[in-house]
Amino acid sequence: MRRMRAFLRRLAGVFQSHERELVAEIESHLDLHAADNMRAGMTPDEARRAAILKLGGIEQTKEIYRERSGLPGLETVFQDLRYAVRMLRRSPGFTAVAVLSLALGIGANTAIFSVMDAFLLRLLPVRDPQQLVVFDPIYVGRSNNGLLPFPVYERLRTLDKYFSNMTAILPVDRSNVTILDPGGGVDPGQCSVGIVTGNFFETLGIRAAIGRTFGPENDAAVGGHPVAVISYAYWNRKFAGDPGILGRTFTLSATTYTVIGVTPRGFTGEWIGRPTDLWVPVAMLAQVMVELPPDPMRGGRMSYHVVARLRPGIESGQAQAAAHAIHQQYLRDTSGPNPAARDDLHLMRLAMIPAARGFSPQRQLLAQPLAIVSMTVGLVLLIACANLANLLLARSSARQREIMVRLAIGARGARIIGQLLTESVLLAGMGGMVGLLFAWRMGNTLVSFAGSGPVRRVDAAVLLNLHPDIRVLLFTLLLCLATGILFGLAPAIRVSRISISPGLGNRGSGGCAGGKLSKVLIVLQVALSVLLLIDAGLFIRTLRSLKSQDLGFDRAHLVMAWIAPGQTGRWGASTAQLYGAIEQRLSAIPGVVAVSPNVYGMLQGNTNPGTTLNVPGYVPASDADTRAQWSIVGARFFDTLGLSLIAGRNLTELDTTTSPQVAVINESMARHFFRNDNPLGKHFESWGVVKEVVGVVRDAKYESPREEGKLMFYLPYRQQLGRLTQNVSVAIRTFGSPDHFESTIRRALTDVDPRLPVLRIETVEDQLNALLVPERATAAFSLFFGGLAVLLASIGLYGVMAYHTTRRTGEIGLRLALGASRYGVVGMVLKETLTLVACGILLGVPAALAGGRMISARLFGIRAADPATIAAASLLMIVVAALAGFLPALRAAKTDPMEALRHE
Amino acid sequence: MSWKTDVWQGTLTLMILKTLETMGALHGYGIARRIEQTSGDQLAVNYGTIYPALLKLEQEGYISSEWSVSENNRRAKYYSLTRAGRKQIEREARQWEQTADIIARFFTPGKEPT
Repeated sequence: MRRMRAFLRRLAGVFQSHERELVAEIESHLDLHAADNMRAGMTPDEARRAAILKLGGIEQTKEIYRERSGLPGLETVFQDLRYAVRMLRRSPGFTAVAVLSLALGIGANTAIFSVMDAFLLRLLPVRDPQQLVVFDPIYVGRSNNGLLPFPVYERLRTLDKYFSNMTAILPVDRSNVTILDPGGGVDPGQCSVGIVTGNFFETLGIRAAIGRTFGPENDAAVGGHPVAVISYAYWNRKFAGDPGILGRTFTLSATTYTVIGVTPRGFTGEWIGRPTDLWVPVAMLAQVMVELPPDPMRGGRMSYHVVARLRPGIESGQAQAAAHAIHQQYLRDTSGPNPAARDDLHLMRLAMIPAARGFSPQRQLLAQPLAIVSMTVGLVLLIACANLANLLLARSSARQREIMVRLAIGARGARIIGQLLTESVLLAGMGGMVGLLFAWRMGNTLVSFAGSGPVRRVDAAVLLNLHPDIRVLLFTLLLCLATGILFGLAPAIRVSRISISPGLGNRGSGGCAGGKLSKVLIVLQVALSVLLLIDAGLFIRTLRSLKSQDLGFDRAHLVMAWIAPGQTGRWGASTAQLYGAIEQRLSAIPGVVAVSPNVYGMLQGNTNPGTTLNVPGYVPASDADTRAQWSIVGARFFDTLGLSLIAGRNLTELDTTTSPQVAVINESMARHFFRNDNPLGKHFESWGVVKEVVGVVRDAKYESPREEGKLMFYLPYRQQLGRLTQNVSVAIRTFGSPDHFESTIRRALTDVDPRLPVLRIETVEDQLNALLVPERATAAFSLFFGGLAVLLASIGLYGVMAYHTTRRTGEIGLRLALGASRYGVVGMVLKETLTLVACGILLGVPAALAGGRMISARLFGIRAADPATIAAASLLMIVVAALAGFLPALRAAKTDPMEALRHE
Repeated sequence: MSWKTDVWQGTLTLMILKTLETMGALHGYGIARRIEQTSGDQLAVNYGTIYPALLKLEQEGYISSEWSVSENNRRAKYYSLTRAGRKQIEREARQWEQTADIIARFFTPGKEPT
């Protein structure tokens, strides 16, 4: 306590001087003492002198007093800072280059960190997040994205020995929300709804920031609780932060809900990367999802995320085993009479995953590109550091005399190092501040990385909480300190070791000792730059080969319109009728060649889970061997896509519920199951129903241009009424450019049903581009940072060569005087430059080869050890380096021999 | 010399506090003078060293200071004990006695515990 108090008083003393008071006190002391002395018989002069002597000197007393009045360490830092600011202001060019290159390096690292933090590191803002777990049924290694049927949730809840609470969440997107105002309704656009059990907020430990949350009592009577809790972000975005939010109403699928609360800021649900806008109780399921067939069962037949809170002290292995057993029992109870389904049970494992950081299927997708980019920016920062170390080395040679003088008048080495480090940390700090400005912009660009599935079109800042938060600032601060020390320490230590005597007398030959260190740094920079250039080249070629990949269908002039028939309350036959009407109405648009619904769309990323087949006569080699993907399409689907039929017939309007079930399969599926036999007329069974193969079409790339030989079968929608529940894409082939068709198509769809939500209309080309956002971003970022690295390295190279040739003016003059040609001098300097570059390349290429293994999973159509890419990157480096070395070489060649010799 | 630095700094604060306890409010010169006299002129140190010690005590809140006029009409800064200062004297005196006691055992042969 006392120490703290004394410390604070001293801290205050740093900023507030006691000097005047001290002088007065010493003066009064001397007066008193002198008066005593005079009484003892001294003359006034003697008396005062004796008093000063006894005091121990006026200045000395002031000095020991000052040491106590403030904090000497802190004062030194301030002194150093003031001095550093003066030094940096004196060389604005150096400061600008240093701050800018550091800003780019630090900014990029901060941006990446903020994305990583939001996606991978940040804990859910709930009570004791480390107790939370989610379940995921894994079938033969393939995750079901954590979705479980509601009855499984209800059975798992009986495990209250292990779990203190457990909630189920059904995430759905709705486009039929209207916010009611006294003045009328407002359509807020697409809205992500969490349909949750009543104990959702209780399980997560979330208290409302405004109003209240709902509890189990609001989840009792089916259809009887039209209440909603909205997220803080949604409240701000769509209700303009209205302070009178409680009691406001909105309609969702024709039911009016009352807002009873707002969740705390920063909480957007358990799913990171898909922020939930509002939550309603499961009791309202049928009212929200009007497309579902009437179902008396609570929770319907939908699949839910299940989040549970482990009791403290429970071993998670035990809890998982218990949950797995319950899940297995459920599967046995519901597998029906089909013995094949029972045989499959052992392939299903119920995994229990820690959910302290929330649930996110995008995390895996993002982890790799993020790792690559964060390594890249780390290397760029390293190069920037090496550059600055070099600049500082050159400067420290220039400042040698100043430092020698300081050493000569008694400054300690540590004090000089401290001073120089203060300068470099100050530089890094300034770079960090400018870098933070870059970071927020870069962070948002980076999040488009997440581009997968339904989150693609959402604003990045909304998607992830990319707020400038304290952790990110702390990270930047640490980064600044680390970089400042990293690039400042070596030059500082070297400078402080300078011996005083030779340097002071002779201003000529100091600083050569720094030559070796700076050359090592250059070689390192070149190596890293070549490494980054090679990677950039690989990613660019990957992007190009992905874009030019043969998709198996004609991608030009192809449009997809996404609609949500379910949200109009349609299902089964009425949905099929709607499809028919849409086919008819859109085909009538002039310029439209063919139209067909297609449930999963094309190139939507990993959205088609597939199903297990039973093929008579086929012996599966492995468990996953009978899995194929499927789609439900219209009669003109193959015409619309330009997929050519190889054998058999098309699907037609005559394939209905009353005719035998048929399917058209792709080449890969035909080859896989039927080898060399004629597949036409063969049968296979899915969902317990046997289908006859009536046609074979060419393979296509269904989900991503990277995929290879996927098994696929197509079913006619008029025959699959029970499966027409999802949102659906309508594929439209146009004659000529599809760009002008959007409004026409939208109008035509409104003609068919004005209540039908049209989610989006996009060309397949656009969709492919959106799908390749991670690849494009990786390529763009690695090209940008590779270029930056080369630029930084060549600035460094130029600086070092310029410095060395200046130091060697005398020698070069002598050579010229002795008859060396100017070409010879240019050649000599260039040779030196290129030797450094060659060393760098010889180091960088093996490093790139070694690192290639890490990135090879992201590559496509190219090997990591691609000779052409390596050669091109090396050549580019050599050319840029030669340019950087040429200027100093030219300057050296222009040396006037007489001038140079006189200089010596 | 180490006496001047370490031990001096440590004991000086106790001497100052004790002086202020017996003499009441006093200025820096008076305190220095008094300490010198009490020690029987054995402590011949610079008076200046008393000022950092006074500052430290004031920062810790054991004494307070105030400008006032001396008996022969000169302005001087007078220091006096605070309540916390009085408590501190008790504490430090006890500690000092203990320390002195322990040290004494080392200098009195035969008294060492076996």
